[in-house]
Amino acid sequence: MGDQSLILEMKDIRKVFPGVVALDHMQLQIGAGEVHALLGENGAGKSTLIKILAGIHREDGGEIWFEGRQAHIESIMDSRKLGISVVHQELSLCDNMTVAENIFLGKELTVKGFLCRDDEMIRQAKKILDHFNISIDPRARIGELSIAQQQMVEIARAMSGEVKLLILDEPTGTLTNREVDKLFDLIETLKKNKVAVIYISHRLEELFRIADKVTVLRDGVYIKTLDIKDTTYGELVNLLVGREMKAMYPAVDNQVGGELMRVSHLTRGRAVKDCSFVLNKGEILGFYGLVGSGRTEIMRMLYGIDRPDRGEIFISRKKADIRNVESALSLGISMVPENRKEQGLILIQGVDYNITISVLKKIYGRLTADIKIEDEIIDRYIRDLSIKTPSRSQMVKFLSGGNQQKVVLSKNLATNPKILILDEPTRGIDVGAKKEIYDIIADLAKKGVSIIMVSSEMPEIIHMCNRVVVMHEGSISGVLSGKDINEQAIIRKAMGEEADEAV
Amino acid sequence: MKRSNFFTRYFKENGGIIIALILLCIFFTINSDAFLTRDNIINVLRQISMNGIIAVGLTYTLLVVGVDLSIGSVISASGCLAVLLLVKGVPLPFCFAAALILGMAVGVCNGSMISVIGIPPYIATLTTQTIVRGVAYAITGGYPTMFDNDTFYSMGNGYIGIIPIPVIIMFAVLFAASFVLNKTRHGRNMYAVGGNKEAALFSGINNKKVIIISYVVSGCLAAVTGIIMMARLSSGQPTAGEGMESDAVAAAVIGGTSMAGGIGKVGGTLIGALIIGVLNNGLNLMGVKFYWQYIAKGLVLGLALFIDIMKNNREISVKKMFEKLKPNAGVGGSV
Repeated sequence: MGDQSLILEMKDIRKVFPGVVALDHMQLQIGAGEVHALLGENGAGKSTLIKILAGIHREDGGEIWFEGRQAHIESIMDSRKLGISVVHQELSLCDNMTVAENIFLGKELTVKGFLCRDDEMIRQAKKILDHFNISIDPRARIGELSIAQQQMVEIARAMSGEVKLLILDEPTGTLTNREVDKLFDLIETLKKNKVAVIYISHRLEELFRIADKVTVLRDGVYIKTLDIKDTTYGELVNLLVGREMKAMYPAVDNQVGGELMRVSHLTRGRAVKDCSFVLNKGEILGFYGLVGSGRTEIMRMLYGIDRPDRGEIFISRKKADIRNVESALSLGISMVPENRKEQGLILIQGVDYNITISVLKKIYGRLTADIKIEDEIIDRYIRDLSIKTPSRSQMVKFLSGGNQQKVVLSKNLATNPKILILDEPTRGIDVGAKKEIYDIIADLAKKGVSIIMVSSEMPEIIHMCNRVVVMHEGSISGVLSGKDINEQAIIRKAMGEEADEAV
Repeated sequence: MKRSNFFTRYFKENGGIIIALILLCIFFTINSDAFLTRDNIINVLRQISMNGIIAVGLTYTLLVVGVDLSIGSVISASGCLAVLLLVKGVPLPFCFAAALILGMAVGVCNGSMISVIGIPPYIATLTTQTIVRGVAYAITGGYPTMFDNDTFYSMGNGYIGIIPIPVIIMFAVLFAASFVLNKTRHGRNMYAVGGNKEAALFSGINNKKVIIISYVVSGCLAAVTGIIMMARLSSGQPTAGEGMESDAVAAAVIGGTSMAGGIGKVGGTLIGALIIGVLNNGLNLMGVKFYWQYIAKGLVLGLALFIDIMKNNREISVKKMFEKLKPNAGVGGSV
């Protein structure tokens, strides 16, 4: 018999995919009402583990015990019947439908299996939402809600049944700090209802706020389970990467020179209002703001994707006319976009193809390619950025998130930028790769490249930047430098000085 | 890294369909004495030449996540235009030039509607299909126009050595199109736009230009085919070319071009066109009724589409399956 106090116990789980052992001797013990964090780098086996619990994959060895009984999870339905529910990383709601319709999607309440009982569904949806203290109108359309609210609906939907174990896969990836707070309130409510939660996140800071226990995985192997209150940030990082990691952030000892770019009175629609700032040579300039504060919109204009309604950009004191991406590139501006899979990479093409896509002009002198120059560029970046890939022509969709991001960086670096814009450069990549990317950024700044780093991650803004521009609702609400760069100051500016919690 | 030679690479990329083509040929050789003869082989090549040419244009539009349904109409309108001008006494080169310009103009319209305004390719090219068909009827008054010009006539019926001129044109088109795709900057840009339009934009590629050029190429090749077709018919026929785009789609997709864009080569398209040509010819020689031929062609196309989905979209479709399998996410829960 399994341990009665545990809701889930996994023993000695093994899962083999052709050519790889995804999980070996994996174990996990979760008590009722416990928030249990699962920590591991990309490829450590977290998602395989979840898919076994969700009934998508079948384990090759080991036992699963659920509520003291041995469970055989062979399909999604088995998993559902046990009371396991999964909220995946990407939201899967229908934008054009209402909250209630989404909650009852696929199991609509009907009269004789035919007519939908709309009022009843709205009433029940309201009950579910109220139960979890979610103040969203069940009649609201999903498309009108914020990402955080959509996430709440997603969780409410996952909870709209007899759920004993909820699995949240990277739920805070796209949320701002305030939205994360709301999500955590919701998790607290679940806890009170004796629902166990498996929580997956790359953001270690969050675990200390929400988790009771944490299990660390590395390369498909169980490493350790710890009480969160008995551990430290440093210990977790070391367990995670399997070696002593001295410092997450490199010493930023770049020489900041004179003015390189001056942006004055940049305005576009309601998203960006009269923004002016200066970027110096060899400087790392941070951009912080809540989602929708206009950070990305400014960067899109600097990179020639959108045109400003008003305002001017000067580079080396000369007025720059950035009409499109091509002209931005020729002015020495390059941008690593926010979303590497959708905006950064051609996923179905190889590493080599992606690295050279922005510098084809260099390679194609007249008509056909100069293979020597091309090979040189590709080899150089694979080496310099230590991109881990089985071959140069490997399709990038098969690389890990960190290596994909390095390919995007290579593509941008190949253009020899004077100004490198990084929009969320470390989103969704594991700790080891993050550190490598910080090292690259620090190194570039030292070599005199001016860097604009847009980020929602407070620690990297604080540790990496020489100065920080903070935005609030389309305007620049402050520029901090030196000792003034700290969490309180940044948050106060990002909220527009008044630090009240009203939404 | 060593770059393997042309034939090894060609076979590696198209191995599956080359084997399918060979098996098909063996089957017809066994079942018909007339199949494997010099005359018949040349005949097959001539039969596929027109489809081969437009299928190259269609491959270009499929690569940038589009399709060109106006091809059939452009064939008749541009071919008829050339014939009408010739009959009016315009020198032949100008007649041909006018036909090509008409084809390219339709391409500019298609490409602009799709990339600048944002109309879905099926709808946009369906619109031009209808309009251009109307133009073909309007300029001819709906009647065939006979012409008498040896040079024009030879475009469809002449030979150089033992090779029919349309076949030579087809190989020239294939060679040029393949060169552009594999060896030039524009070719790479096409794969980028087809693979991920947004990422191409962020990489400094002018998406609109790349897309418009693809449709211009498609329109131009349809016009070339229009000239060949009218030459073969020795008259301008406003009804010609109807529905020819479906064989072109079949050739491109059988040849390995992905309906999702960004994957495909014209070398494969040639094999695709050959498979359809051999299938038509072989079934004819065996005396199979035409309606069975339609069904056979449809089945082959269905099979090719199925392989395309399995091969190119495995990631996507598996991901979609997970979405469906998600608890509460719909009827897929019972899968």
